[in-house]
Amino acid sequence: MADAVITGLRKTFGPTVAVADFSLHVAEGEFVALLGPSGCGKTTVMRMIAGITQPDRGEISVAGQRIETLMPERRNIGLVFQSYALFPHMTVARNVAFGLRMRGVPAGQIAAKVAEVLAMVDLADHGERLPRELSGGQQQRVALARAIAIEPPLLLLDEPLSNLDAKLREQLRDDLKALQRRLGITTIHVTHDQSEAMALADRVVVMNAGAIVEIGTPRRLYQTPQTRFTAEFLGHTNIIPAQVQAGLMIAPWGQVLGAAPSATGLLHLSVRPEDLGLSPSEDGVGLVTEVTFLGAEVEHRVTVGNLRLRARSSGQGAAVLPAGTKVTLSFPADLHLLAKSTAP
Amino acid sequence: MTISRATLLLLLLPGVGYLVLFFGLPLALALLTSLGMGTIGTNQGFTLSHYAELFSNSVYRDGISYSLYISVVPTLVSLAVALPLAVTLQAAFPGKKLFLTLYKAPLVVPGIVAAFIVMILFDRGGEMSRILKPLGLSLPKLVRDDWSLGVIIALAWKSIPFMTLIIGGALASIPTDLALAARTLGASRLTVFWQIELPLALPGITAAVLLVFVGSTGAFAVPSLLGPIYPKPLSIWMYEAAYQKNDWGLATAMGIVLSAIACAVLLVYYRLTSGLHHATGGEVR
Repeated sequence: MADAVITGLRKTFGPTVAVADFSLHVAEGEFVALLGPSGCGKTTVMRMIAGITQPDRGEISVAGQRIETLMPERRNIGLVFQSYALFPHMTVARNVAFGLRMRGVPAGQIAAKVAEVLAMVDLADHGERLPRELSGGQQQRVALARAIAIEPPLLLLDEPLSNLDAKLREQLRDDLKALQRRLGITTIHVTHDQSEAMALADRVVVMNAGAIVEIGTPRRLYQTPQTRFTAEFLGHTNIIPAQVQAGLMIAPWGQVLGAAPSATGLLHLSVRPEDLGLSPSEDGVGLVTEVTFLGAEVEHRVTVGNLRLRARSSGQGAAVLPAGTKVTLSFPADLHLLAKSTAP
Repeated sequence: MTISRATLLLLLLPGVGYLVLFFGLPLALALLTSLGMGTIGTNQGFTLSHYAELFSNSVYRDGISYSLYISVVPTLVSLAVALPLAVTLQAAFPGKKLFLTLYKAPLVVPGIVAAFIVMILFDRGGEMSRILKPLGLSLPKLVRDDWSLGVIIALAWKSIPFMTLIIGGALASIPTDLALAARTLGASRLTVFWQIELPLALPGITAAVLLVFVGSTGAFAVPSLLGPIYPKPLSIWMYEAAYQKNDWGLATAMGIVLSAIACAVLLVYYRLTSGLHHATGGEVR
């Protein structure tokens, strides 16, 4: 089983705790994204798995084998760098062959394997080029080909798409996902781009300040985040505090939002901008302060008391309410409550 | 817009004019003098006699060989020390900042002072012998010895920091991700050095070797203080010819030969590096 099990991984740099008690099980063939803001420890976790950084403590097993004490060259892990790290003095084919040569694979087999993986990334006729003669997207694909040529049980991707422009990034994202599915290779992808993580990963690990905040499928994390951090990091959201009175949730401006669960006291709701409805009304509690036309969507900023909310509507019927319009707010029937540590 | 020929020449004048006036002209005058048509000393009319004397007299032939010897050997010794040193200096270690300051000291010490330092330390009865004597050890002859070990020590001592600086710079400009990528692909530290770092630092290494070689070719103070009685390098024979025999024709012929050796090395260097540029794609990131 080419799964990866990480248990109790910890790393400090001087007084700074980069990674605190990180544990994760990645199933065989699974695509997991480590998502978080810069400095959250996601890259440190990846470097510890690759063996470039030594953990203070913790265990790492890949395909049932403990690897945390091994030198990087003994770990047999494919790593694609953000900078691609292609060897500038070697041709594309020599770059891809490097890992196989290090393993003492016979020349004939190397040539066949290089041709095979270069074909996989659509660079079959670029083998004799030098990295600097390729575009950024092509270099990225060479880096990927070089990493998968050694047939690693685990593939690590460190922000592999962040140096590309938006259109190319989407294209390569789709190619990357298709290739990963086809090879069935267990993959850990490090990124700070939530849409990239959601588009690619089977499961997303949301990280902040060296610790895991939440783990789940992209859909689960987006629709029912347990924490405010996840709710706000994955797309935009409105956090609305609500008081429970007589079994009902009451918004600060007095609107009844729905039936309260068994809990009492103060609750926090996460309402996505696309779920918040606005309708113009003379006695509305909200005031539109800003309207932004985004092409596919229209975004309204609404002030209610001291809360600033965001509402988005899309489609041809999307109304554009001018700034200064008074509005009433409507909420979906299925409200989502944040479970943990929701203090603002 | 096309620039007229006259404008172009005018634009080129400061740069090219400087080179012609201060480099080309003296070299041309030296060449003419060496061919007997000089403005310094007696004008004999065109003759190859100075070159004939230079290449037929075994004293001068030995001088040429000796000049090459004290260029090649110190360069190789410097490289053997500077390369591992430059690699070591890439890593962090306690006291690195102090070491980085101290190791460059020989750069600012003039050659003649370096020669005196070697003499004081390594001559018979020098500091080293005094330190080693109570231990029952003695130094081999290092000053005015047959193998010119003192000359080699002094010249290498001068060149090592210079070479380390250039090679260290070349190594430091290689992105660390390359070494890490090679490691994850299965290369040991040593393999990373041979297959990634060394080829990428090669332009810097050859430049350092070349500059040190050319610098040693014309060395005068160090071999005259520390070198053997015989052979002497061409630079010393050149001085004797000009100032003791007033034979400027012979002296300039020697100067031209020394310059030709430097130019030949330079040409080989360009051939080598253009070959490498081809192999590395002309650019090393």
